[in-house]
Amino acid sequence: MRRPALFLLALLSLGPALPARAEDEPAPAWNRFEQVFLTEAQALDLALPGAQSRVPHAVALDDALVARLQRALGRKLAPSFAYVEGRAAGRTTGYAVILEEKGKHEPITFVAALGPDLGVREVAVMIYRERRGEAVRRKRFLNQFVGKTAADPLALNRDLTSLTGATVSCWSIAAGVKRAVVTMAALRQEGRL
Amino acid sequence: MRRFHTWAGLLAGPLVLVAAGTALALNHRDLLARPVSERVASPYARYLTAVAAPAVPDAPGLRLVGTSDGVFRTTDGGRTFEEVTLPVPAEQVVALASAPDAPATVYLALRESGVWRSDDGGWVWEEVALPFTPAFGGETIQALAPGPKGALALLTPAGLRERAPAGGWTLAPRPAAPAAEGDKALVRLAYDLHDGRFWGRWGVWLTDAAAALLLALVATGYGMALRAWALRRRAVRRRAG
Repeated sequence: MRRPALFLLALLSLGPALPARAEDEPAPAWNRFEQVFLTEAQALDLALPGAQSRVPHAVALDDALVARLQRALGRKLAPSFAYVEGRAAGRTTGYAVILEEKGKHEPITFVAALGPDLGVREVAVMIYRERRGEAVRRKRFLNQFVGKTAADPLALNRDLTSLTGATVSCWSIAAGVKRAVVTMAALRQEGRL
Repeated sequence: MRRFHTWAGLLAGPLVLVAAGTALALNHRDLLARPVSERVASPYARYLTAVAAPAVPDAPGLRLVGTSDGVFRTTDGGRTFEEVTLPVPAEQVVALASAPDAPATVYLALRESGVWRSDDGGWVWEEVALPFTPAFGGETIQALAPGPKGALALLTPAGLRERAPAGGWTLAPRPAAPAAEGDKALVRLAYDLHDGRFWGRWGVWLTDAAAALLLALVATGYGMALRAWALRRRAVRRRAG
């Protein structure tokens, strides 16, 4: 009986020694903590396996398309979009879109790999710049994107579930993947892919 | 004394179950999130916090409703709603307001996720650049009021922040705290102690562990009480037989 009581006492006495609460932490500088998990070359290797060549594309989106995409995504967009096409034996093997979305405070860089059918094949975090929320890299979250297309909601609390402690980062990744998938689908619909 | 202990335990058990169970649930709200097929697309299933009526020619009945965990749109006078999609979790909506000189422009303030602006009545949103990072250093957004020509006023714990029509932010710092604010600080302290945030990020996990221990104590306590009750009953039957 004495041992559990001592353990509980030790546990409670740990309290003041634990890290300070988040609100007391100094400025965003504290939170900046860049971790590179994948370089661009590694990300493209991962996203376009088996591709003999990679063709980068930079597409200018006209006003009508931007307006249509903005309405579909519910957010303002830049009038340009870039992706890399993987090719082998004269055929497209897939597409890689390197994206940057603001997380809680800092941008997150990640890659979305799409198949020739524009379904998501893989999502991987390349650079994470905050101390908290890195859990968003977990396969448990990222695997939820596999197989999703522009027809899916691709939204948290709908067809995706976020992770405790990385909620905002999960939303950011979901918003970025949705942007990639919806834009690529619109480009194909317009015959520009 | 022992009997009192047993009865006190039995009566307090349900309360401890509720307190510990809800503490666990609140600390891990995402585990409670259900897929959209089950998620009710109605603001009335949540705490309502704000409403705006942007004037858009092709949607005369457009209203936006802000809640504790989402923004909803109705175009038919509130009979049906759809959830507004934002690139951030639309949690803790503190304000939704139309600009006085541009009725289709609507501002949305989220307590910890910044201010968002839409120029088409709430279909396309963009984040408003702020001179501070919401939720850092405890500076959250508590109220918002748009003015003419892009002017904006924000109330935060730091004071009143105002954006002039020409751009550029000013801060009128909050005056020295009156005595009554001490009570609020105590309430906040009580909340922080309750969910473990007082001790930092690990404190939440410690609270989880303590809550799980309490749940286990209650469960084993009920088990022991039931066993004792069954033994007593058996002994009484034996004596009677």
